[in-house]
Amino acid sequence: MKKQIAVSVLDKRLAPVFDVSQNVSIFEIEDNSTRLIGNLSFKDGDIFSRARMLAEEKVELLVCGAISYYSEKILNSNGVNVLPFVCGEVEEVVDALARDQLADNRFRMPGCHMRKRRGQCRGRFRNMEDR
Amino acid sequence: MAGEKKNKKSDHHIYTDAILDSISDGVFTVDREWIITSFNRAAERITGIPRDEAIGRLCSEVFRSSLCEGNCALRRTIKTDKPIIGKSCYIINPDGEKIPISVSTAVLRDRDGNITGGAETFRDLSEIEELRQELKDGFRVGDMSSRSPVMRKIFELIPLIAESSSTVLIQGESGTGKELIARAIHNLSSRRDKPFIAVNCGALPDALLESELFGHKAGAFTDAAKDKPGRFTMAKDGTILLDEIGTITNTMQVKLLRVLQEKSFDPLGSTKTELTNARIIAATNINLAEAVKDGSFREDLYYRINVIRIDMPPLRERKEDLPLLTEQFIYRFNNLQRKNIKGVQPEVMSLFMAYDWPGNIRELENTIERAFVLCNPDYIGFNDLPTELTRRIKQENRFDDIKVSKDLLEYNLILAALERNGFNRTAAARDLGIHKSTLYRKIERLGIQLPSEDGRGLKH
Repeated sequence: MKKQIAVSVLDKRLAPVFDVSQNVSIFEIEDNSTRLIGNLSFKDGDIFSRARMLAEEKVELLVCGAISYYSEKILNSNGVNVLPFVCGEVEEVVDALARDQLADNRFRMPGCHMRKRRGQCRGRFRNMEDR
Repeated sequence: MAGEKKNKKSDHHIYTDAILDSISDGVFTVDREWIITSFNRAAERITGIPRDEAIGRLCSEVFRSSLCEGNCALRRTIKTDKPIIGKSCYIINPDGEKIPISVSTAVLRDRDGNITGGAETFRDLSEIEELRQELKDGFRVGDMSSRSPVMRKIFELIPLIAESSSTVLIQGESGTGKELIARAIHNLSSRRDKPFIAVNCGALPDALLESELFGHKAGAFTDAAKDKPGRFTMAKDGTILLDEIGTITNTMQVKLLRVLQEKSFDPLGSTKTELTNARIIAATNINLAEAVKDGSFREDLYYRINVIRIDMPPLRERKEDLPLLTEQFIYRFNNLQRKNIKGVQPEVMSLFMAYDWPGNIRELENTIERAFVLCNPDYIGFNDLPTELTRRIKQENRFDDIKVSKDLLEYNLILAALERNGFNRTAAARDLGIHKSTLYRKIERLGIQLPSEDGRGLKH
């Protein structure tokens, strides 16, 4: 099934903090293959306009680094699911997502280990594995 | 010799680590590749990241600060060779919480003066921020303050909402402060110098509401002698609050949908379409999702206004705010009515705590305003309260409730102990056989008012 995802980008890696990041790349994922279909620049847009922009681009999932609780909630309310606290080279991350291998430790930001910490990270990565 | 030197170096490292671990500020160091090489205990505590996970990773992916993208303090220090002291920013911990911090930076060099990396120290400002809020009587936004965690979350969201121009839907029972929230959003936004216009949609029939919102031209209907601008025109680039939006008819819903979709409207009797750039905030005391289900509210309009939603909790769910709100209303009415009421009698606060406040904050405000007319010069007593309130409590048998009775008993015991000990809380706690912190918690929960001279200096 075809779906559109966005990745928060800084140079060639995932941006460390989505709340202040300026750029996302949008990919189309179908089966195990990925295709870059465009880039979005947020400039100084607030989280609401960012969420609206992503929703207008029909992005179903945002893969990003750290993100604040409120920003995530606002994205969710605009129909954009969030896979937070992911790190690594953009190409590798997108490829791993297409192959359902993003649960690998090397793509997790430190402190977001599945077994070691309570809180959102654990749940999020568990969901990610289910995906 | 070489072995001795190596051992000495190791000792040096051990001492350094011990010193770094003993300080309360977070410290980490990086090499030239921005890889973390050391991470002290305070850094673990503040970031919520264990040292063994942090070391060897890119600093931006560990630290996750608002400066990491394009404004890195350490990068600037290494580039300019000038330290940065106390720069404010925030980091995001693994639970998605923003932690306010201040950072300072320094360059690390080897014996030959070559740059080998950098060190960053950071201080957690959360506690200072919370203390600041405490000093300001809880959390405050605009004209509202609260000690309730639910309200705190709403207050934290308001500055973010204010930054955007999206439509906001505020849901909550009557009297919960929906208009105050709308005003706070407006006052914190870039539109603050533009008009804030509030319209009560429930108070007007269709034709009048249309004329009120969109205006009319002379001759549009009988008595329309001259042009009258509507509220949207008056709001210009400001904010318009459409209160009681849940009560408007289907015809008006269609007209409002057009305003939301196309940002345009037609004044009554006009052939010229006008444009609006006003930010729309809608408020309602009914559950709009339910109204959509039963067909009384259009789904397309609901989705247009429900871009950002704020659910205001009723007063019965934030009773911890009763003492603070009571104090604020007394302060306000003292100023307005030039009186000097000092507060409410203990049994009144106890009754306030037991009551469900169906009319919410507005009912509390009216209750206190009424009591001001009747009460004696010092404290508002049981007899100054409206009979509806006391009767309702009796009807609901609230004093038969075990929890309320227990609260009343605790209230009286604690107050008596405090008075016996000249309001010295440590002595009162000892007297009651409970820990000092338990007493503080109970004083807070039961809304016991303490005199400004709290007797802390008294020896017992």
